[in-house]
Amino acid sequence: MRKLHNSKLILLTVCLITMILSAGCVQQKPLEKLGLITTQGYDMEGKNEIRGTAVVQKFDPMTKAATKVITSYAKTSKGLRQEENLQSNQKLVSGQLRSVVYSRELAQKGIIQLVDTLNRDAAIGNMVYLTIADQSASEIMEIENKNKGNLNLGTYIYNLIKQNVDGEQIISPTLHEFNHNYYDIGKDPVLPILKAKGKDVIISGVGLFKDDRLVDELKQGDLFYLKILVDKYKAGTKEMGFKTEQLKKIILKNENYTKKPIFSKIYVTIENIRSKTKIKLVDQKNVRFKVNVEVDSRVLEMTQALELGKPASIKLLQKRFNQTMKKKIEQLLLHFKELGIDPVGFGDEYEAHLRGRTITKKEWDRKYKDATFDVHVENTIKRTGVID
Amino acid sequence: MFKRKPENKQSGDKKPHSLNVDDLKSELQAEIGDCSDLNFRTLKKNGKKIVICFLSSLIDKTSFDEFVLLPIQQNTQNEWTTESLAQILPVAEVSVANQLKEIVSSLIEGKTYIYIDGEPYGILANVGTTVERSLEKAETESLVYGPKISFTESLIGNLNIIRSNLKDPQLCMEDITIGKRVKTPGKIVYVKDIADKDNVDTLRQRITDLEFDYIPDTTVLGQLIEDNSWTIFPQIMSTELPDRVTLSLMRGRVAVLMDRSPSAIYGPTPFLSFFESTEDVYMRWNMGFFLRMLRIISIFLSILLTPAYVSVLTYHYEVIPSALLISLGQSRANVPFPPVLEALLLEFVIELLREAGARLPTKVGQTMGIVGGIVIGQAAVQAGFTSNILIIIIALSALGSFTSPSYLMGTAVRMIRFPIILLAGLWGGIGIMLSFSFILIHLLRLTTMGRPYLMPIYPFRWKDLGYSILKFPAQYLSYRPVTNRPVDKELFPKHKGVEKKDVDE
Amino acid sequence: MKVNIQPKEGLLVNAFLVMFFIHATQTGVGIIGLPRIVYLAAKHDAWISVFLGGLISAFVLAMIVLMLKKYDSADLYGIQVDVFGKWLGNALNIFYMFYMSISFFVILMNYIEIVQVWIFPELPTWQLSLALILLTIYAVNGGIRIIVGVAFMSVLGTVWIIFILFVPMQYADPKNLLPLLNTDLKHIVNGVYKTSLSLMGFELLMFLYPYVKDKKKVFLYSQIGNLYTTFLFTAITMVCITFFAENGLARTIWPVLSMFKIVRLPNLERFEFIAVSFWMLVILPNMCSYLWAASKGFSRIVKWKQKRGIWIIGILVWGGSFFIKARYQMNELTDFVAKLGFLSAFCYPVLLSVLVLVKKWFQRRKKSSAEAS
Repeated sequence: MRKLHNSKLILLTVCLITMILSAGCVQQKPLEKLGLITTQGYDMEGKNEIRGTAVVQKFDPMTKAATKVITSYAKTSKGLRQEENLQSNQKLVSGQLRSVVYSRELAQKGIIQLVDTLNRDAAIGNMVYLTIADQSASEIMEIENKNKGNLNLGTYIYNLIKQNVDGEQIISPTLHEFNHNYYDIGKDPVLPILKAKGKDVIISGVGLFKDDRLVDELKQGDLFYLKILVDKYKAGTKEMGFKTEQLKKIILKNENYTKKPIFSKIYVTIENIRSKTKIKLVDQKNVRFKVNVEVDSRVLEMTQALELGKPASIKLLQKRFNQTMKKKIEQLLLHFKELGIDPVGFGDEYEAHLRGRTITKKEWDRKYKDATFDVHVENTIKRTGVID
Repeated sequence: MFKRKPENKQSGDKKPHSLNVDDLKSELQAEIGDCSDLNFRTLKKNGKKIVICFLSSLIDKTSFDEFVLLPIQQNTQNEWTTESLAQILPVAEVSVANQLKEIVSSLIEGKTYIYIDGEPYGILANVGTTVERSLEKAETESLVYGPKISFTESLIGNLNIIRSNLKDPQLCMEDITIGKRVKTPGKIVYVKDIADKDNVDTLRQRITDLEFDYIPDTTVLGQLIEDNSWTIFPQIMSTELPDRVTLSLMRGRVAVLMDRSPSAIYGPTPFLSFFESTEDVYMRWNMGFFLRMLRIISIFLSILLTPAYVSVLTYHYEVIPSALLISLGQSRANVPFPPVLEALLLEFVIELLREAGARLPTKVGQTMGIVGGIVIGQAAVQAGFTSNILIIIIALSALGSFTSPSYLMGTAVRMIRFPIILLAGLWGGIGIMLSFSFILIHLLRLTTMGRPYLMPIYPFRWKDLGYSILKFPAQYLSYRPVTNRPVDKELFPKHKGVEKKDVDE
Repeated sequence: MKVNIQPKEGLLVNAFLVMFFIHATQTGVGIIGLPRIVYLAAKHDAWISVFLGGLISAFVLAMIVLMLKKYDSADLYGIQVDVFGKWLGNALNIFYMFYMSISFFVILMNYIEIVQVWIFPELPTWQLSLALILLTIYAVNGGIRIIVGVAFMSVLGTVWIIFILFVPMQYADPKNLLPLLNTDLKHIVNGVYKTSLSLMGFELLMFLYPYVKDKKKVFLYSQIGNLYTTFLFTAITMVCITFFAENGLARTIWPVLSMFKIVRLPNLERFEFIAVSFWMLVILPNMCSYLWAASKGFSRIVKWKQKRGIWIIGILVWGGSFFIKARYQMNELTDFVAKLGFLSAFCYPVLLSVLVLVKKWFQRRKKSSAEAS
């Protein structure tokens, strides 16, 4: 048995004293005494002020999971927090912030000054979803009151966006991605637009940004092509429309059945889409890009019966798909070029080939205006279901 | 190890007793007569007296009558001399003595002293008996699989069991006296060509150096010869299962048994050996492996869960996923205390239940335990005293700490949970990490009988991983654990374990 | 002072553990901020700088081992006295002790700053520093075996954090690494210089050497440890460059922790809280080794008991923790220690080993000429 060293005794005593003294030196944040801000909305109010609407989740032993909507006015988001605290019986913290909504007006003016504090604050996570409101953010926040506090708006918006991101309907709008795209010269952010419809909140489209300013909006149909270019699909879905003459050769003719088409055009839906896109800079001086898109899919629905048994018809269908997609993509890219935005990331690709010097944002903006794109789409229809 | 002030030891009175029987009787009476049940049986023959002295509580009446009294009485032919008596006594252990002190201590051990008037020596015959219980099932260590007998209080009986288990000529059982005033006989048991000589020497030297009055049990002996008494972690394993002892002996460890103690201690035992159960050996290796992993993980979780709960709910609310947020928050909303106090209170109640359950008589114990646990738990939640999530966590950690096969280690694990909860309540995640680092450094500093406590993890002996944390199939364990530094390293030739046949051979 | 130390048999450690010791002392708080510092110097070829830095430290390590092999079993204190004589050698020894104590201080303060920024903004510096210093003193009092054990357990206990790196890799944009070798040599060399602060720690091998059991294997194991550190740091830098945008990385002070913000384990949302707490286990071997080596000077030079030296340095460092209040002060101090460390850990051992080799060569020549004549 070792002797008890005097030093150990001193050690123990000092430890104990420190612990007793320091009890209370670190601020406690017991969960049930906090009001957790789960979602925050920002609106422009007057010239130098913003209006903040926060949905706060409280823990009340009397009722089940209560939520509360608090509105306040200030000039910075931390200032908003102070004002909001004056209206709450529990301390408001933002550690569980899940989504942030900016009004359209604010987004058109530029949101980076508000996003910056989300970056600096260590308590806020990087996977917060940033969204834009169709009109004003407070309108969206008020949905919580319309549902008498049963909706739990923070979780609702979070789940709304999350399941659409997982379902490959929209591009992931996390704070981290926004940062990455904003600080990168060769890419611009894309955020979803929320709209209040009745008692619910829905995603009504996607906003295209130039740096941190909202310049345009895309609806669902074009969003597919944007996602094909930016990201890849693992199991997407798309409705394709064709004029009847384009597919006339492969329409199924059977005398036994008389089918009169309901629509005036033929629509084919492809699904289980796997896509891969390669963007290459082929000519550095003239800024020419080659865009190669490969799509694998299967056809499960069409509004008019087509004869898909023969390989020739499949090839024809594929060719039509290629043509339509190529046209749409080219249209989209031209549209982006006109607006001067680059959500796809051509700037990144250009920079990757830039040897010996760096490029500034202004330079790239100029070069981008002269960029040309070669688009090639390669469709493969793998299966057509259990019927030919 | 406690040392008493060296008192003036009575240098053994080298005074032989008087040669007269009556004087002998009065001398003995003066020594121990008043305080014990000393008895004399005097026989006369040819004018010579023969006195038989004994303590009536210690002798076996039947053996005494048949094997001591009867032969003497029936021996009418010869003269009564010490040598002739020694020939006719049908007793296994006889010896001669004439020192008063020796005779007194032998009488206390259960021997009888037969003295013929005028002879220079008398005979000490061992007809003592001890009251024993028969072999029973082990109480504190229960197994599902494997031999179930446990040691009893008789040293001879225990040695019998071990010898029957291990019929190895190299099995060595050394005599040793334990204690200074009350000299309890003990045995150091080891296999001579497997155990490391250093281990045996250390053990022997530590026991003989002890200057302690009376050592009641091997567990007390274990505490006295330990390396570090201030720590909460046991450094010597004590068990009441003979098969555990024999397994350890064959792996190179050294055991100590003591008379009147139903458990044996053996060492050196590193930290991980406290999580081994003999069932791992008796069951298949995959099951043994799984069970051992289960044990280690459950003990780790049982230390970690409650402090994590306390720290997350007091400081780190951001860590909670949204699905759990509402249920955690709602369950905490009813409770008036901060999480630290709540957790400490509940842990205290569990310890209370456990301690009370150990003391209750069996008939009442089970009902009280179940009813008390369930009812108190339910009532506490409904009264708003605690949150139901915390009760689940505390119950799980209590269960987890009971999976340790060694009761001492399980209690140690339960004890260290309290300071960790306190630190978690003070400094959150940093506090938990501080306490873990402290425990880690502490475990690194501990030694068991001079060997590092965290073998085979540190110093890293990868060969022994098959014995301690993981468990390999038997054909890959062709060597004894290196940590015990056995002299004879191989169990079976290695190539025989891994012979492989070709297809269709 | 004796040049060689012959520690007792029971105090020696296996050469195998030298690998863990080297890796553990190199990995500390430096790695958290490393990608940003090197990126500021070398842009997106920062990972090349880190890799080159690792190779240079391997070279320095090889020179150190070569120098140590020339002696029976000496440590830096003994070698300096042997080469420079008693007075200059001891003056250099005291300077090295000062360097190691201040390294200990800087590691401690950096970690406390991280805790204060990420988890507990109100935590007073002196409290956490007191707790950590007491913990370190408890470990160092156990001796070198315990410290190497702490290093071993720390590496084992934190190896799982490497697998967490896979999560940010999903968000990584490999194009950020291109074009390769775009920066000119000057910037890459500047990047290598900036890496040196994070790769420091291997010079403590000079103090561990006498306590190693089979000294022949020290070379192999120390190189393996350093190689592992190099790969780890390069991988982390690469992931950081591809994960953050260019200007984003330049602004994030602690990129590794910011990367951990997106990790979501089952049942634990924000991994960086756990990562910061776990980092205590990562810096513990660093602090223990520096304190041990610094206090050893007391017993070697001044013949005081090492325990007294431990307490003296501990109390001095704790006192120093009261004086650093703001981020810029911390920055200045870290820069100062980086410069000092570059000289003491990289340049000086190479110089010393050359001197030792020269001296031993002269001695051998003298001996052979004395034998010949």
